[in-house]
Amino acid sequence: MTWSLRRYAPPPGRVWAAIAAAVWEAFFWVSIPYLVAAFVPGVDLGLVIPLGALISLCAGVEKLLPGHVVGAAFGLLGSALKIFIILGATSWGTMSFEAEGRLVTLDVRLIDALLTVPIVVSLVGKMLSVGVSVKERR
Amino acid sequence: MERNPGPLSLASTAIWAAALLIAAMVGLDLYLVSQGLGAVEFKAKQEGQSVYLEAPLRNRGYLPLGLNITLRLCQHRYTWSSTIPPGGEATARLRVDPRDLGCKPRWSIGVRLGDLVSAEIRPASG
Repeated sequence: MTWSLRRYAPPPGRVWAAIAAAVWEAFFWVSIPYLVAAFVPGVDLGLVIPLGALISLCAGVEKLLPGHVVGAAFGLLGSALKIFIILGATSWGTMSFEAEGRLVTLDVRLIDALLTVPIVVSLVGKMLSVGVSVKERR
Repeated sequence: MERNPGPLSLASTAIWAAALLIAAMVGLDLYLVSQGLGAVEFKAKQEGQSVYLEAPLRNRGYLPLGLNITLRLCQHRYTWSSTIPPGGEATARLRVDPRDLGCKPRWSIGVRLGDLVSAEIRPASG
């Protein structure tokens, strides 16, 4: 009996889809925070960039293993990290920073809700799809 | 086998696109409003026994701009608040006690952008 990794290799189309998904997420969660930090004074990126890279990785693995529990788990982790970044970066919607000797307090809770709700909806969708795929396997 | 995206996935993508668009529009409005407010300068004007501090204001954004301006001079607080429609103009007018004019002014400004975002700007030292 021969054993080869090639048997487990995903089709090339799926690999490209995974790379595209990772690049797309990296654009959103790595490039945009960098641009915001470059133009808005007093913004501290903190953990945003490493978490953005992790989101990008999760998106890639999710696309690489569609319909698999492992892929779905990475997808769930990616969605959870997105919510964590949005709420953490804005201090739950009430952030304050110092600029030109003035203390600026911003209340963006409504914008936070607007950005978080679709992620929660997709998270629920992914959870349901994991349930369906587990049932199908049985 | 690839799965078709479910209705929840399509819904979340649509809501996500709309939310990003709204967030970008609010960000742009915030930028336009901050550019307009940055150029505001109050000038003292005497009318009889009273002194007024006046400044022309213009809403450069595309959301209604609610402003609440508070000036602290000595132990007194003077306030002015109004909502300026998009593209509209208003004159902020504060009636000030002339004896307070020698004190150091401490401004604080409350800004509301169409009830989507609100901000408060005040001196960092408290």
